[in-house]
Amino acid sequence: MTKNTVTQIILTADEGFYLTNGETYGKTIILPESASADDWWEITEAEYQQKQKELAETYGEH
Amino acid sequence: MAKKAYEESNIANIAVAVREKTGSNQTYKTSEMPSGVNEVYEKGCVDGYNDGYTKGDSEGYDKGYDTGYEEGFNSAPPDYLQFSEAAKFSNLNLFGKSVLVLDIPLVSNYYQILSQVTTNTTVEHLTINGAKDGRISQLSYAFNGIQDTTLKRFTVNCDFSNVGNFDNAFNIRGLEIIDGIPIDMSSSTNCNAFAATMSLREVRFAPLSIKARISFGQAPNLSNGTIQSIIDGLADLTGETAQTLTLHKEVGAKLTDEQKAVITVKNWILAY
Repeated sequence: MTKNTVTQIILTADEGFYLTNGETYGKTIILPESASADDWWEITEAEYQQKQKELAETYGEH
Repeated sequence: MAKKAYEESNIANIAVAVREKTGSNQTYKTSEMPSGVNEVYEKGCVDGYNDGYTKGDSEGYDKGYDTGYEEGFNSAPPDYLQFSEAAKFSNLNLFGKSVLVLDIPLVSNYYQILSQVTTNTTVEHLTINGAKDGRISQLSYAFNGIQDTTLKRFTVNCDFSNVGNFDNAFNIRGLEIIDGIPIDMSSSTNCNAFAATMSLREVRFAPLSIKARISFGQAPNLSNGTIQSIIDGLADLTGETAQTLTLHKEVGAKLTDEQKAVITVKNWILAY
């Protein structure tokens, strides 16, 4: 028999919010044991959509 | 040999005929007329050869070239672009047939190699036969900006195991399938190749080769095989700084607990 223990820190954004660490965005963030929840904060959905729009505008540019 | 009598005019006419054909003003004694006849023959050979060569060259070669070119062009299945070395095909108009094959076995730097390909292309399937000896070192923005096109499938027959930078490499909005040799990102510090590949369904990675942040956040249609290949492709970062895998929220919601556990055990952050 093999026993594995997996430690996960699961962050879930509140309704109407997204989680971000400045680079990555998501409603759900699953962290391994080595990562810190303090690196993540919530932004509003409107801020998230604005950010996605800005990123889309840079598509194709370099 | 006996001596015989001939009309002088008949003998003179032979000389006249020889001068007409040779273009000379030479007069001939009767004894010199055989050499005159030989001169006529030799001049005929030269003139005939030259005239025939010139006419054959212009009519035969030109006509053969045009006919051969047209028939070859119309019968060739894909369009082949073969280059010994090429730096960049930016702003290339991919008109014509639906399948395009690019043979570039010597190119090592793919930076912007097909970026900003213009619109109005009819190409649906692009195949790149690149180097398989590990010489390709740079892939950033390689195919970025092939937008608003019909391109749905991209066959990549290249060894990317020594590429140091995949930044925005495959940002092609309508692209659904990337196949060929599984993508090996093991030498790259920037794996952010698919941030805007929103139609992506199929792609395969070399196992344990993805070592840096990677996002499929805009791709809701990843197949189960692709999802598993991504998970298998994540390198084990135990003892190193955790990196982030971003999936579209619909894809993240499909992950099993076991898949999420594998991602976590490898020291990856999962965002969806």
